[in-house]
Amino acid sequence: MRILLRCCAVASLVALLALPVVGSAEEAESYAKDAANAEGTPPMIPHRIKDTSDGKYCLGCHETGITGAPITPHPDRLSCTGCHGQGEIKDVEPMKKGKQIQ
Amino acid sequence: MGLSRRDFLKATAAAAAFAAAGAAVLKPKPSEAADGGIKWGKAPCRFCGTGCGVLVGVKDGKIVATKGDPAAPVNKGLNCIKGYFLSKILYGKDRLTKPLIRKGDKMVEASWDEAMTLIASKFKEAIATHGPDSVAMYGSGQWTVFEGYAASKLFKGGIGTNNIEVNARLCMASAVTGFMTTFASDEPMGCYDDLDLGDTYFLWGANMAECHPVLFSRIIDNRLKNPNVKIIDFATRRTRTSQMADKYIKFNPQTDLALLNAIAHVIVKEKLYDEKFIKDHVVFKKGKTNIGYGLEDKFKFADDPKPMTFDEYKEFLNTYTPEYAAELSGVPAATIVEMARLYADKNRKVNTLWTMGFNQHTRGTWVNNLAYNIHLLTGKICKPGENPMSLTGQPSACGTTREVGTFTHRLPADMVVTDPEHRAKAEKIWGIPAGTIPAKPTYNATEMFRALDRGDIKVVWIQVTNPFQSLPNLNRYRKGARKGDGRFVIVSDMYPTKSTEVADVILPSASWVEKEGVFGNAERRTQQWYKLVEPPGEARNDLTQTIDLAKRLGHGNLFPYKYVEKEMWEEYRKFNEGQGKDLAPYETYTKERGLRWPVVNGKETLYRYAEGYDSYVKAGEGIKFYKNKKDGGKAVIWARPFEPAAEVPDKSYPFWLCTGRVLEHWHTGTMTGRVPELKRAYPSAVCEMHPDDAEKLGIKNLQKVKISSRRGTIILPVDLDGRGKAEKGNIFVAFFDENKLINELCIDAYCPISGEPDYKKCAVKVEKA
Repeated sequence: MRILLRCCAVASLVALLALPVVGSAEEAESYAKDAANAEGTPPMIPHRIKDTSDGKYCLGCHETGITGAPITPHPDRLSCTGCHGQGEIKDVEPMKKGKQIQ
Repeated sequence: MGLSRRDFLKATAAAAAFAAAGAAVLKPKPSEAADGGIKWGKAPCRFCGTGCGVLVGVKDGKIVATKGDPAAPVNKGLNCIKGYFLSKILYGKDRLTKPLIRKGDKMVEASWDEAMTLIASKFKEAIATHGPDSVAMYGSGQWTVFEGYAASKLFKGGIGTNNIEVNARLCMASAVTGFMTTFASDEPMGCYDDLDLGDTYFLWGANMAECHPVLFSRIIDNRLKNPNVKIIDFATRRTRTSQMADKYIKFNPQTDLALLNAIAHVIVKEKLYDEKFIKDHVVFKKGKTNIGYGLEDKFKFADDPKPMTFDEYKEFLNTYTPEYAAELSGVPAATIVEMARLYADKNRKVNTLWTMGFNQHTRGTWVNNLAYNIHLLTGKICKPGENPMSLTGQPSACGTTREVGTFTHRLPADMVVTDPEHRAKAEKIWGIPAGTIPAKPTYNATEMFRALDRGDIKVVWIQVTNPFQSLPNLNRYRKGARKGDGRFVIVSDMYPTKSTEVADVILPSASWVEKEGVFGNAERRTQQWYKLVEPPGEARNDLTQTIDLAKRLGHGNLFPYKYVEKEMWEEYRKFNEGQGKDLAPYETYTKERGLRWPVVNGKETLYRYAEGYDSYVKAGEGIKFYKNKKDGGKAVIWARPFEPAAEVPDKSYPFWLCTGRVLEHWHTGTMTGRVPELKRAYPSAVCEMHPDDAEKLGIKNLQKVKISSRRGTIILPVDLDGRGKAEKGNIFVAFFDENKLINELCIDAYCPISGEPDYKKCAVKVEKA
C-alpha cells in the first residue's frame, strides 16, 4: 500500500507539476538544485480577511476553487496566515459563501 | 526518502486542481534558478531561534531571492512570512553606510579611523580614571558566535571586566538558570524531532502560531497524520495558537506557579508518578523563598539550596490542591486534575513547550524548574517524542549568548567566572596571564543600564540590538543614557533605531549574509554560512569592529588569526571538547545543514543524557544526567512555591499589561519594519482588550485609549476583535512599534535568580483618550 501510494504520489507530482522530488542531503552543496526544487514566495492575500481566519476558513474556498478562488497546492498546511499575509486589498473580495463554510 | 502524507496530499491536491476546469491554481512560482545568473548559498534565517534553513539567491552582488531550504531538517522547505521576505531586510532605504559622530544635536559623518580613534580614547580615558568596570559591552542573541566570542574575549580576557551582557538576558536567562539548577547544563535534552514524534503538547505562555510558526506547523502537521495528537494551550490571552489548539486553558497571570504545583500534587496524590525513574534519576531540593523582585538598584540574591526527601516534597505539595490552585488561577479544579492525568498518562508522549510567558517572569527560574518537575516525576524526558523544551526567540541566543557565555557571569561551555578552575581554563585557552578574568560578575542587563544611569558605567558599546526600545521602564534608561557627565554610548547597527537616537557614535554594520557567521538554534543545532554579498557603503562586520578596538587598546594579541572565523572556531571548540558540548571542526559545518551538539566523532546528538543517543552515557546506564556531578548524575526536582507578581492590579491601576510579539514583526521591528509587505500587513501597535472591559469604560472598537502605568503613558487604538483576544482584566500590546514605546510602561522587576525582567505583568489603567 505504502509503495503504491508513493508511486502514485510521486508520479502525479512529477507529471502534473513537473517538479522533481527534493534533492538528497548528500548533495549538500548543490544549493542551486535545491533552490530549483524549493517553493517561491507565497502570494499575499489580495482580499480582506478576518484577523482570526484559520485554515478551515481559507480552505472553504481555496481547497476546491469554489467561486473562482485560486486552489492551494497544499491543503495539508493549515496555518495559512503563517506564510500568507494580508496584502494590498485589490478588487477581489472573499465570497460570502466562504464565511458560511466556517 | 519515505512518503509522507503531505507528499500524497500535495500530489492529490495538484491533481484535483488541474482537474477543476477554469480554476486558477496557486502553483509555486517557477524557480528563479532557471533564469540563470543566480548563485545560491545557504544560511540560517536572520530572525527567530527556530533556525530555519534558507537558500539565498544572489545576482549582480545583490540578494534577489530567498527560499525555504527543502534540505534543511528544521523547516523542510517552509518559511514563515518573515522568512520569505528576508531578501528585503538588507535593502531598506535608510541603511547606515558611514560612521557618525555626535556634534551637539547633529550626527556628522566621519571616517572609520576617526570614529574608532574617538571610541578608543573614550575607553582608555574611562578605564584610566574609573577602572575597567566603567566600560561595558551590550550585545545580543543575534551576534554570530564569532562576534560574541570576540567581545567576551576582549572584555573578560583583555580589558579585564565582566561588564559584558546581552539582550538574551531579557529573553532567555530564566531558561538558562532553569536548566542549570535542574540539570547543571544549559539547553534542552530533546530536539525538534519531538514535534513530529509526540502526541501531547502542553504550551505554556507560548503563542507558537505567531512567534514560532514553522515549529507550530510541524505540530499541526503531526496532528493531521495522527488524530490522537492533542495541543493544550495554557495562556493568559486567547491567540491564533489557542484557536488551533485542542484546548485553551486561560489562567490569571503569575499563577502558572500554582498550576504546575497543583499538577504535581495530583500526580503525587494519585500515584501517577514513575517511582523507579525518580529513585534512579532524581533528587529533591528546596531554595529560599520570598526572594524579592530586583526593583532596587544593585539588588543581589544568592539562593541557598537545601536537600529534601520525596516525602518532604510531598508535604510541600500538600498546599497545592487543585481547589487552591483553582482559586488563584481561575482554572477549574476538575481541569487541573484532568491535565495532571493527561501529563501522566502512560500511553501518551508528552511535551511541554514554552517561551516568554515562563522566561519573562519574576519567578522565571522557578517556573522553568516546575515544568521540569512534572517531566521528572513522570519520567517523560530524554526520550524521542517526550521532552520539555524552552523555545528561543533569537537566531543565536543559544549558539552565541548561552554557549559562548556572553553574560557577565558566564564563560564558554557552561563555565562561570566565579569558579577558579573555569577561569584558569579560559585563561589557558586564551593564552592570557592567570588572574586576568575577574572573579566577580558585575551587572545583569537591567543593572547595566541602571549603572549607566547612575554614572557608574561611563562607556557602553551596543551591538546588534536596540535596548533603548526593548528595556523595561524605558524612560529611566533613555534619560540615563543622555545625562552627559562623561557618559558615552556607541551603537553598531544597520539602520537608525531608538538606540542610535541616544548614541554618541553610530557605526554602520554588516548584517546576516553580508558577513560569514555561525548561529546556534533552540535545538542545539549549529549552522554556518558564508558571506554572500558585500555590505553597503562602508558598513563593517561587528567582529571586525570589535577586533579594531582591541588593537587600539593594546589587546590585538588576543586575535592573532589569519582566517579569523575558522581559527577562532577551532579555538572556541577547545572549551567544549569533552564537556558534553562538543562541536565539530569548522569545515564540517560549511557543508552540513547544521548539527546538534554534542557532536562526537562526527555524529550529532538527538537526545542528551540518553543511552544510544548521547555518547557520554555508558551502556546499561539508560538515562544519566551526567552533567550534574554534585548530585550523582541525577536531576533536581525543586520545591518552588507560588509567590505574587512584583506589581499586581489594584484600584488605581486595575489592568494587567502583557507585551509580546506579532507574526509579521520581529523584536523592535528595525528589520521587518523596513519590509513594505510586512509593514502593510501589520502597520502599528494596538491595545487588545476584552469587549466587556471596553464596554464598562465606554470604549468602542478602534477608539483611542490612554494607557498609563506608574512609569509611563501611551495612546493606542483599542482592538476588541483582533487575532489576539485579551481576557477580562488584561490588555496586550506588541512591542515592535518604535513610534509606540510600550516598554515605557513595563516594570523593571526581574527574577532574582536569572536577572530576567518580567514584560508580561504590570499594572496599568486605561482611559478614553
